[in-house]
Amino acid sequence: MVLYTPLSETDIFPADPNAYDSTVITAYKQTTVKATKLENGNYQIVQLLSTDPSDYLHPDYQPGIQFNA
Amino acid sequence: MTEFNNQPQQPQKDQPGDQPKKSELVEKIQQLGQSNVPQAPDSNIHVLPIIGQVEGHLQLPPQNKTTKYEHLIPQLVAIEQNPKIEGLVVLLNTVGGDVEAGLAISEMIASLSKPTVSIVLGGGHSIGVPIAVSTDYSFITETATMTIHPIRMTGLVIGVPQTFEYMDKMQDRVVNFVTQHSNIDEDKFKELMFAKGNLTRDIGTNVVGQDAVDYGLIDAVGGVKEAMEMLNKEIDKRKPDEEQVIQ
Repeated sequence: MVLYTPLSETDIFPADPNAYDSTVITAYKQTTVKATKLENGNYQIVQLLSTDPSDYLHPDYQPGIQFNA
Repeated sequence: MTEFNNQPQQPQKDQPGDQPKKSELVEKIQQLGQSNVPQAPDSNIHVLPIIGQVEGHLQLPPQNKTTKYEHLIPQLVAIEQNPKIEGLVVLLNTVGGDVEAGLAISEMIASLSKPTVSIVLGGGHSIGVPIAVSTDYSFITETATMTIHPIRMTGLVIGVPQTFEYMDKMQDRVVNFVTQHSNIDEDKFKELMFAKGNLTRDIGTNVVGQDAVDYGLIDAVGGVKEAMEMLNKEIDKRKPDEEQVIQ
């Protein structure tokens, strides 16, 4: 299918509402992180939402770290 | 070697409670690709990354990388309030996004009492332009670009003349903010915004590195080093005043 339209892709194909469910933005220790829920019930950090540059070097806040909610 | 290998295996079999402790290092390597990351002392400069799309009132689909203004605005308040934070660096690599969210972030940065510096890295397009100029001093890397073009909207329009008028006013808000917070004058900015022939099938201008400085939009070409030097200089300038008050 070829679409020729000024509309954005998301206006034509609405995003799967379940796609929002796996990603959460949550408080974790002293900061806020964006995390995905894993099958084992843990959360895995996707992105760190902090303005403190030293947080980005903190071993506990590295993307990929798993934690319990 | 064999002894060393056998030791951690034994408690795993006998005492399942010890398992997480023993595999922590392995887990860390699996997750991060390394065993340890370097630690740094507390920083007096905070960083505000504006990446991907600036997300406003509508939540974008999860495949988009977004910067949510509802996250940034409380962070900016926290930066203003925290006495340990002495300066702010805004890092921009954005394709633009929601006009009102972008203007909200820009106004918040512009009204901070602490020294602020911005760096346009890959691109600071559309609503990235007011965010870039909102700081006290702005830098652009040599290869970074900024696309200046009229604002647009998608979706349902109810009442064409009213919507047009509203859009026109919204565009004026962007133009006013940029001209007030940078050295570019309104005529030049509008000329770039409505220029024909620069973007293949669109009106507007793609301004690269040094050009942005020549137009007066951005203060200087530079990266992290220049931005940090400028910020530290500004922070130091404010320090002697405080000491005098104490004496």
